[in-house]
Amino acid sequence: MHIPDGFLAPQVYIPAYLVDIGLLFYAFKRFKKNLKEETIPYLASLSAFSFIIMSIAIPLPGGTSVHGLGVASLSLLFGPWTAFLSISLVLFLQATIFGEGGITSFPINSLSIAFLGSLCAYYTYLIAKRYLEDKASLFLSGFLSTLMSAFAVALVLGIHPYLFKDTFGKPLYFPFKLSLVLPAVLFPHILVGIGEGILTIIILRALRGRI
Amino acid sequence: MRDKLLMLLYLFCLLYLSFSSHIYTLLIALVLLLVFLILSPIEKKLKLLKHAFLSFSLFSFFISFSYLLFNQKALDYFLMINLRSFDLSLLTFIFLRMVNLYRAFDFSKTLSFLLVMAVGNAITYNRLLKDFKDAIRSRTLQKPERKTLVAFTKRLSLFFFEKSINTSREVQEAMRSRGFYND
Repeated sequence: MHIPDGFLAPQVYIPAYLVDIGLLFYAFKRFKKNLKEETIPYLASLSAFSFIIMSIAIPLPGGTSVHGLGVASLSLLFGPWTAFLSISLVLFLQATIFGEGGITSFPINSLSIAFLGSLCAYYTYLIAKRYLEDKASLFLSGFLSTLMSAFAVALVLGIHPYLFKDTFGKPLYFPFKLSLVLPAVLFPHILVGIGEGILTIIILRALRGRI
Repeated sequence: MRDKLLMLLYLFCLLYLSFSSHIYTLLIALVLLLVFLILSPIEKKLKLLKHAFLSFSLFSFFISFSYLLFNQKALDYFLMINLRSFDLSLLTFIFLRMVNLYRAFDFSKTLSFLLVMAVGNAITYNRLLKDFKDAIRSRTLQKPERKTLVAFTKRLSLFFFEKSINTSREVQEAMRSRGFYND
């Protein structure tokens, strides 16, 4: 979801930037510890790979298609911290170089899509594969990570009218309350989640064992 | 140094406009940004204006129109949120045209190289993806079946994955041979 600038309060995006930069710094340290010299080229290539995954349309039953995020695929292939780093880099490039998504919404997208999405995908798969078949676990991992990211974005947007209003009670930033924004964001993302689940199965089945 | 100063100025303006909720302040800011754009040496000004408008309008209009439908007296909110959103988008687009982002981030060698490489790879991969899409379009008269599309997606992910691994190895060797790692 591309939230343009102006809808998020600085009291929300500034702390989000601080948390996000802290987490990115930690993730980069972890990544560098394992790879050393290969860190920069590997991360750059991986980010370009996730950029492409985001551009691929996934065919859904019924003839429609949606664009996946590739969060679950990257998280299961390379680990949640590496996925968080590379997807955040893609989101940053989209906001700065390609002009998609706002600069102020970058930390919210990075935390909800890249961080929470990656962790959710990774741990969902770990838990689900104990009880379900591999294919179902992969699907669930992609599906739930998408819904988790959408839920986090909706939560951040939905708290704005409660916290930021003028003296007459009119909203200053995003206007809709949680009761409206949660279903409005979550329901369309069920379709995206199904697409992400299918994409996770396709990519993991094709690439597993090549790392 | 110029790029870093412009980045600081941009961040200050971004914060100021984000905090601002007065229609007149936002309107004055828009006029100033437009005057600055006209006087600046930036090329293709109309294209920039169009991009800035398109980048915010879909989400912004949808949300503010919906709110206007629910609250008939919310015209001032409608104006304020769209003005702020357009101001910030225009400010960002002008900044990105005037500043060399790689130079602005060159206080960190790692970050600067990472940006250059990631953007370079993303542009190359995007071009390749377009070629792949053109190829499948030219080889199928009707809309491809779901089975074909799944196989196509599989091949795409495999191709780009292997290309990513190979590219990163090649780049690492090239960087080593040029003394990037100072060993």
